[in-house]
Amino acid sequence: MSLRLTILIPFALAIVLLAAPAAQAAEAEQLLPPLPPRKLMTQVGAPVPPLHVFRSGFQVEPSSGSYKVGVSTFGSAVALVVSNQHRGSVAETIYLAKGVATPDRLQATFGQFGKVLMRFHETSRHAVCLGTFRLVRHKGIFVGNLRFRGENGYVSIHVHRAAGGILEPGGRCPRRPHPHPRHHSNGSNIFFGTPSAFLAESRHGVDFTGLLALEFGPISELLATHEESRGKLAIIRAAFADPHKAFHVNEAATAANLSPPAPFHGAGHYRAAPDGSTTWAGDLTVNFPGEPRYPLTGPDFKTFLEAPF
Amino acid sequence: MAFAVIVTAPARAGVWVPQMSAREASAFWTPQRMREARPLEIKRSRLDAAAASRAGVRGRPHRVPAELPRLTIEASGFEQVADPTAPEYRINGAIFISFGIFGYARCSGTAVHSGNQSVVLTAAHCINEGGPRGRWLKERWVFVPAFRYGQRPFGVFPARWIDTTRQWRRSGSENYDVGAAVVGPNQRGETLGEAVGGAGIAWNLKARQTFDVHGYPVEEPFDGETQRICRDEPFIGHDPNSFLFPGPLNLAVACGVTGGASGGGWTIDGNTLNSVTNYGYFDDTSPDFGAYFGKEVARLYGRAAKVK
Repeated sequence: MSLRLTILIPFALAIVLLAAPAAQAAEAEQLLPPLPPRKLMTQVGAPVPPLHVFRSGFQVEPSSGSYKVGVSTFGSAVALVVSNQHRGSVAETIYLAKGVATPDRLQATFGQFGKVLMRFHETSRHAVCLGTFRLVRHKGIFVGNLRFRGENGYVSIHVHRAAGGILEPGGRCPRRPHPHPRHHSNGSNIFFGTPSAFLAESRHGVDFTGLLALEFGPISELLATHEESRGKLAIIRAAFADPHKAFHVNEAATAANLSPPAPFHGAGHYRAAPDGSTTWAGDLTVNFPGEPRYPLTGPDFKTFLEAPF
Repeated sequence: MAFAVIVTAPARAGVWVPQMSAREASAFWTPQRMREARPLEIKRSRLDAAAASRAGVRGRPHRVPAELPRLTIEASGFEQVADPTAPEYRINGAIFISFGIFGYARCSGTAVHSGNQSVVLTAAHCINEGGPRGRWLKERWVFVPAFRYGQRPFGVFPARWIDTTRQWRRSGSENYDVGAAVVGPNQRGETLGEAVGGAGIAWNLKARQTFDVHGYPVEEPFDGETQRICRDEPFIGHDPNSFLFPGPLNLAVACGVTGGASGGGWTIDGNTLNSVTNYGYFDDTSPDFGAYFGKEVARLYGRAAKVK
């Protein structure tokens, strides 16, 4: 049996690996819902759609509420993404279902929550270069039926038309030197010095909950995720925040405290005893779309703390 | 001048393994080398999302009957099989593979009833690394049924031909992590079927089955020297990660097996193979994840069963 390891350093690496292409791609695919960040918590080298694979989808805003709803291909699945962004923090819930995930057709049933059957009608196309990748960006309209109502009705949408797009590989672009060095995003800063890192994770059957906190200098980054499968539907919830000084580790690496801002609430306290036993307690919760106040502390969590000397 | 033309045996899929007699294989695979063999891990590759959408799973349920007594269910738990040579357990065995100077690897496998009486099913990553650039793991590949403490009570069966689901080689998708080998006779000249019989096999069944999980886990708390079984384990769901990969959703059962159990058979109704162990997670070795047996596995079995 192949055993997969969930460790801290690959997580940090994954943030950089995923942040760069995602940010680049975002410039060209504003019509598509954001890429789910969930893979940070489970494995590195995961099938986050790379630039050489097509992506197709659309994004709409329900008339009420603060959420955006997007539907897109994600690997071999159709992903319905409900997201909420607020002052640099992101909370999203992704409903993943097997279906038809071709560039011009999105079809899937999201269990009791709804279903989508939309076909793409192109109105224009042009090529863009992202480094040496040439992407062909098709703009158009998805026509069909999307009906979705989240848990307890936290979001509800029923549309027949939505502006969307397809990004697909279109060969190579010539490499051109940049006239000025590029400014690095925050995601790359984690290699400026050694970060402190805290991981808490819990698994029940096929369901997984994880919390990763990184601290490098004054910057903290927190990512919480919960994965579950319900029959033919997988639900991936993720929340991200990068507040200042929300994560503190003491000199002896025997205690750590987390008190992040929204979408997180409360605080978590890690303590390591001289005999090697640890506790992870507090009232830290996170508001995932459709799953408010989800607990992130307790004895079910396995914890790992790494702090630089 | 005469030109010698070397023609390899025709094979539409799979590869032929360099000829090695059971006697040679037995001489090579000493107990020391068997103990040194490490569990195989999946090598990951990027996925072809377009291929994903083409992969379907539909088909009618099908069963091939077993050629052995039905396993009687006793207690539950991941326990050592007291007598792996008993008729209902001897179809399960350990697989050993050489990586030359890089050492040895091992997996688990199951003898399956077929016309040629020589088919072993295991995980694809015990056969091929997966993806378009995956290499075949065919060096000194042997199946040792009822292996126990270095003993080979039914002999050593060297592989003659190996194959995986085509989707495993195309995309590296774990949802297609199933492989097959056709093995040669043992030192006594017996075919695998003659020596130990073979499990039945079923495909296109509902995911919600109750499985007996077999294997030879090597990593702690086990040592790879004994056959283990989780009895009567119900299906508990799909891995959320499975949704991202091409192919049918994989299966999970609550069985805490560790590395080395890759390819171990999941049987239903006592003697019918319906999945094999693929992977687990370090943070919690239970659940154990296995591939769904759909039409791709049926095709693989069909190809293996036709090998002469």
